[in-house]
Amino acid sequence: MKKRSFQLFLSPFVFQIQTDIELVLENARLMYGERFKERVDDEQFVDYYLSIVKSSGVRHFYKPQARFFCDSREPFKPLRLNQAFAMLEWGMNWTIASHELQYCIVHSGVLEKDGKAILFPAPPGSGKSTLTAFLANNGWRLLSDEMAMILPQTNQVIPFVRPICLKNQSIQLAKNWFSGAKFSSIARDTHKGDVIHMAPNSSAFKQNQVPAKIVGVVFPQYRPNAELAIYQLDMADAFMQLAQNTFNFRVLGNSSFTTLTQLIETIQSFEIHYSDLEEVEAFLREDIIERSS
Amino acid sequence: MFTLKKGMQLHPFSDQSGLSIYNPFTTEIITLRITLTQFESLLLDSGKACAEHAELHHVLNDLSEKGIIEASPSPARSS
Amino acid sequence: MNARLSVSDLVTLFLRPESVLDYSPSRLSKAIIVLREQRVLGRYCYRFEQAGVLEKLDERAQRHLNNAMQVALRQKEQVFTEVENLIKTLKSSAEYVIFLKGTAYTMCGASIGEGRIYSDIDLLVPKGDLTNCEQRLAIAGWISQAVNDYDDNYYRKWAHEIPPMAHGQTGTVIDVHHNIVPVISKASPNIQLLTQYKEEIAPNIFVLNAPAQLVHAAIHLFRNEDYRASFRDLTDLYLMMENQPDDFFEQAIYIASEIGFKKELALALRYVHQLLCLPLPAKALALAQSQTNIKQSVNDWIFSSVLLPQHDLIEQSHTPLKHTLAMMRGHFLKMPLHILIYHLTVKSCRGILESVFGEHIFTPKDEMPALQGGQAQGKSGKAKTP
Repeated sequence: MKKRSFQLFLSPFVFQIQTDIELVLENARLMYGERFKERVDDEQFVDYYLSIVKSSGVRHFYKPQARFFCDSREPFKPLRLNQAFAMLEWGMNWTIASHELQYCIVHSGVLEKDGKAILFPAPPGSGKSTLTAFLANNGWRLLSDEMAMILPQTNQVIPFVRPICLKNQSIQLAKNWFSGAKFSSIARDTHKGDVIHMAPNSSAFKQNQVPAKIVGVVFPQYRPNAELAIYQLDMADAFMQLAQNTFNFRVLGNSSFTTLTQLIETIQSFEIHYSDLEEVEAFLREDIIERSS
Repeated sequence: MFTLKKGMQLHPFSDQSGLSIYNPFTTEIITLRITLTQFESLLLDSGKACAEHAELHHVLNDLSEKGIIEASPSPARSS
Repeated sequence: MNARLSVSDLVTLFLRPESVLDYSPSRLSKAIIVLREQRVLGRYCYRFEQAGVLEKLDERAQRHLNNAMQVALRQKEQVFTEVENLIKTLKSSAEYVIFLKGTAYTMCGASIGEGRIYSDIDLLVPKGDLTNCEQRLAIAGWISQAVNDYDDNYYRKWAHEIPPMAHGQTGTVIDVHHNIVPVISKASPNIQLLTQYKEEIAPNIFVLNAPAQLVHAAIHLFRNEDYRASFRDLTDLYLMMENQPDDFFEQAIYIASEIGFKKELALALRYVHQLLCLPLPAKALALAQSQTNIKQSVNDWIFSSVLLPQHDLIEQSHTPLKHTLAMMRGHFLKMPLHILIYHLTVKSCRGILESVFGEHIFTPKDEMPALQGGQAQGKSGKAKTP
């Protein structure tokens, strides 16, 4: 395929992406629906200009690879061609996390109910994305699966609605649970294992310019067959964990310190160990959302 | 005695769980599990505190090495 | 207004920042993307701010400009601490420590340092003190970044610096030099001729004086072999020369002849004059136009485009050939031929591997601003309650 460009309107950013990989085009079209613009509008203000292209070289013939560029920077090693769409998703995350300083950006899922949002910062393997996917399909609004964009000196979080990245066993679970959802093709054997992206539902996209007020932060830990265990975190602990999950803490400097310490003062913080998602949902709703003003 | 260096951001958490200090020059964050009152008396009367708890000596050393606090001359004492 | 951008639009934007007010939002977004790629977005932000036009721009454009500016400001805030620490660390190990390039600009507080980012801290120490310095730095937590033994050997045998060292905790990278060009290229000067122009700008903090900084910057750019971000360097040269009195240029010419780099200075003067329209005093202009005609026109052909931004979004004829020529030029200047062959043998062996297995089985080196880390360096230094 010849190189082609398309635009993605993902509030608050507009991306222009150049690619010569059919798989990228197909998946982007499927995942982003109306937000995918097949034709580049030259009059549009574009925030980031990215490209994901086939690697040249002899390797190209027997094991084709994809390379991701933001400006002339290449943050990742090339990946196998069948992982190209996942790579683009990670590349978009990398781009925002390493350039945007108008928000304090925490590596975290963000879901909202009744205008109140809960952050779920967690390392890979904690089941965060499965939890995000479950909530997003059970009456909660998805703001983001990967990054909470907090307006400095406030407790407001801005949505950055993107597909949810599911791994390994969660792939089949998600396909069974959410039969109406749209899924990308599977990127096999990435450094995270098998990976699939699930499109956000249309209501999440429709409200992607509506901020929410953060009322809680929950650090989830998936434990197979475990009963739900809830630990309240003291502020010092919660703050350190939140700061460690903040992409741009160092560049933001004082402003991120003030934002996060102030935020921690006004919200509830928990660590939970769980296996039953319905139990978790009830806890979040009854003990955090309904009890906070 | 010691004082907090200029430019350091300090936040004592209202649930008394501790305090965090941010050093903008090194971008390091330190969280101490002591209250603000305890921290202040530690800086003010570092000699006495270290005599009572040897490990506090390390804490002060560490904070000083990280450029967060600095030794300052003791105020004149009435004793 | 036509949404397409040309190279001269970007030059005009640099020289007359207020011309940005004529840009439509989409055209401005293209300019921003190109300037960010060229690593000059922060510098342009500063110039828009100085011209009083920043606040009149489209909000989205302001956001990107401010982001770039903030990275530079943060770096500036931290570099003083890094410099202090380095001086403390090296105090007893080196007869002198002179900060070069980006760090020096920031330390001098000149406008050239505003909005400018750099990927490492460059310092110059006497060759005889190099081993001492390296050991002291290692004890203080700096770790050598040599990729493999070949790299390490290459640096030690031929280069004018030791392999870059990164600090284990802060991630800051330093480049410790003992000369300004590889010793093995026969052009490397007696470094004492240059260090005599050092100047103490704060207690124990030394940099080269302004004319010597200009000479060094000219050498750095015109003996370079990678011109992909040279627009930033060209604007550096402009800002160093702007508003300088005649004797500044005379001193620079004197220093350049003294250490044997008059040609590089001539090129610097020539292209700042030619491409960025900076007026020069008579003596400087004479030097800028001093080369023979044929050589000059070849140089002009190469440099007129490699020194200016290259990007898919801007209109210009394709120039990869010129880039290759400029790169070869830089390469040949650095190494005498027999050394060049040695250098190429080992590198090209790797080159073959790369062409067989794809270009990037080796970790790509991503150039990040030196002091901008990704995640918070959060360490719970938990002390027990007394």
